[in-house]
Amino acid sequence: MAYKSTIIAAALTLGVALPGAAQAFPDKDITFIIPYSAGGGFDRTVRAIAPYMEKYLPKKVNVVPKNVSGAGGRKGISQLFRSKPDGHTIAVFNIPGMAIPPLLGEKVNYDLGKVSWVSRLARGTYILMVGSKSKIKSLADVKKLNRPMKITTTGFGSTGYTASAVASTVMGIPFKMLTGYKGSKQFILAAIRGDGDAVYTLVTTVRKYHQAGDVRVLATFEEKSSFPGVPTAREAGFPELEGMSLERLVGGPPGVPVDRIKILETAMLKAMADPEFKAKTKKRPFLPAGSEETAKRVDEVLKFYLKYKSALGKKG
Amino acid sequence: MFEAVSSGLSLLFTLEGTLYLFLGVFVGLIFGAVPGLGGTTAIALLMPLTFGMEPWLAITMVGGVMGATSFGGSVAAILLNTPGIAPNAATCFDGYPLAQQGKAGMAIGAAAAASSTGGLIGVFTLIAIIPVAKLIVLSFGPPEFFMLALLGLSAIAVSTGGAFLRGLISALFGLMLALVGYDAVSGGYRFTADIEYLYDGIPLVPALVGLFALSEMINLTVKGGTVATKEASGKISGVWSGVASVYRNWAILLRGSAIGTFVGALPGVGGTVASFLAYTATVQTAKDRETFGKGNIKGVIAPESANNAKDGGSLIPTLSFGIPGSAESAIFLGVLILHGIEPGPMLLIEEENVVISIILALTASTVLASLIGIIVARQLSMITRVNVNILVPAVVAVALVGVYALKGEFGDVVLAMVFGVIGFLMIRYGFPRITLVIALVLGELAERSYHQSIAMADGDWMIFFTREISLLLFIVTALCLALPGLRFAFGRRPFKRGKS
Repeated sequence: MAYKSTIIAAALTLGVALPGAAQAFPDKDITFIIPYSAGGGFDRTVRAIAPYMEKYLPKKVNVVPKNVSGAGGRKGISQLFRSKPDGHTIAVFNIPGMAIPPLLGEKVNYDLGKVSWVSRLARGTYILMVGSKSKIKSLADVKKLNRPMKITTTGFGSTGYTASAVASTVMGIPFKMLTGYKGSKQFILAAIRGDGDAVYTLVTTVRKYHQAGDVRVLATFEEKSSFPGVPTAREAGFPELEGMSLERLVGGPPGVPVDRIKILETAMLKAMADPEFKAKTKKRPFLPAGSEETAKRVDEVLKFYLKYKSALGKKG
Repeated sequence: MFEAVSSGLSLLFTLEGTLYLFLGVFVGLIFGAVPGLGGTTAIALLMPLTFGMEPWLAITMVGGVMGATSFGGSVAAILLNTPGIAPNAATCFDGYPLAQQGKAGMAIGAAAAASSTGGLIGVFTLIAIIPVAKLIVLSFGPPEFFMLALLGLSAIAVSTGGAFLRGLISALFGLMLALVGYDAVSGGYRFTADIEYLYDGIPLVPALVGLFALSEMINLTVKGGTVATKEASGKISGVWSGVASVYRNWAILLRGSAIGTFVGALPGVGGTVASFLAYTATVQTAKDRETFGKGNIKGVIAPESANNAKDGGSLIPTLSFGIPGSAESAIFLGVLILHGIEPGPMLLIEEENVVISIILALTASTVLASLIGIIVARQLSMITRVNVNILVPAVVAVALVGVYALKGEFGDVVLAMVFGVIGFLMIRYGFPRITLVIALVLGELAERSYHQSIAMADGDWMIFFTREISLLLFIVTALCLALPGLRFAFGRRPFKRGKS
């Protein structure tokens, strides 16, 4: 694996040349790039963890969240890749979101195989929902439509579009995309309004709309359903959909010295285990994982989506 | 409810409450007035300050900012032909000519009164329709959005300022610019020349700063002198006559506020569209149409009432669905999250005190900002008498720093300068800038919602005429386009006959 050899090479260089580097790290503020605008899910995740990460770093520095939004997250990650690999710049990654454009053959200025992974923050699981006034009451009703199911979502190449295409293909549901919405809240609203039939979105995003009675969840891809009476993908006969997730991961540019990654990883894991932090994020629990597990998970997710590449369709 | 309101009020009038409200208003005014900055930047900067605060206090400050920015922005629009924030762009068209005629005080007075009254109407409408808010938000789908955009685009016809062909050329140029970047429907990138900066399209704020502020500064440098022409530089006064003019034109005020509240309530449309619709509605129905763009006070009242009323309106989808109706309300949601309050459809039920805090702060802020504005209007108007050799470098520096500060993106500065030159050439060769801006603002919405509507109906364009609201908007558009012709045909004929 490319990233492993990079890490080993970096470790060797460091061990020989920079014995004192570890003690000095971090010697200035750490910039935490959020490649999306303020107020969204990734922004929220980073801003929640940043102050606690500070608490567990060996030296007192600030962890400064910085929104670098644009080009569907590519701009922020490009900026990360241009930064110095000294551990003082890290970013939150959207996997599969950031893997899709290269998968579709679009030009990007980064290589996910070379990221110095620090940790996982959270994992999002998908559900299939319709508006509560919809005639579709269950998965079985979808089959009875006798026409393709219209899915409201964001544009081709986006995370939402990809998840929708893949999940529908796995479940054998004929579908038609109704794109152009500017985010999950907009396309959930579109489904409630009746622009289209259904929406694939994250459990955490849909929860409030479900409580308010605005939407009906048809199936959840969680391992254990957290919506009373709603079947899981496994119960519906599609266990592979449990592998379809949205990972919020933290990483640095290629070639961050491995001992610095270790320091960042330790701080991050301790921060996520902090009782006060846990109490604060009870409604949206984080799902910590270390550097190695994160790298492995990236591989798994990429493989999952690669398997369904043909389902993604074409622009248009 | 009443109990919650009175406890909210008593909180607002504590020392802390008043202090943070004032802080919000003050920051909002300044950030509104500096081109490029604006309410979202202000709130984003103040956000870290609110970490340790009680949620209601943070919300009070945010409400203060939201209520004050659009009035702050109107001051820059009037005095320097530079919209402080994008929704003030329409205010430039008549506000700046007024300043050139030495009537800056009057224009600021009118903007202040229109802003606060519009803001209050927006908030009261919000309170009145909270029970049916969901219904309203749900009745607007893609076909209705398309018709709304079409209605706005139809205004191009009356905004050409006499240069019809040039106006259309400007508008087409604006539409072309609106197409640049990621196409949310097909997922492709268009006209980006592989430049990553252009992937998200032409950013509105730097473009407006270029088109208005920088082009005007180039123009002033070429002409020399001061903003207010020599003949006009008598005594600066008229603040109160400006205030009075707002209530004399109460129909325009009410219509502007209604348009602002209504458009604000539609997620994804925004204050810029609101103020343009209000402005063009006023021009289209006015009898003295030819005086617009040359310093008609009604051209200040309409957009200013609309862009303040939209704040109340934009909270309708924010509070009922957790979907922001404007950029400011999107950051407001961020502040809520920061304080552990989950926005969404349950907000109204679970967090009544939060809702009341924001409404009270917004109300207090609109009034406070306007009062401050009226008090300092005369001093502010002196800017129009500053010699260009001092004024131009200062304004250019502030505008470019503002543009840079917005996202820390150097490309924005370059883009603003390019548009500054384009704007100057347009002034020079008599191409109206308003039609370009209308097309640039509405082009994306029109295209996207058209595609979505057609996809919804499986290719049947009758969808635009089978839905009641969509059909109604179409009829209004048709009437607006026909009205001048009808008036000409029926109104003037006897006069002409008599003459011949």
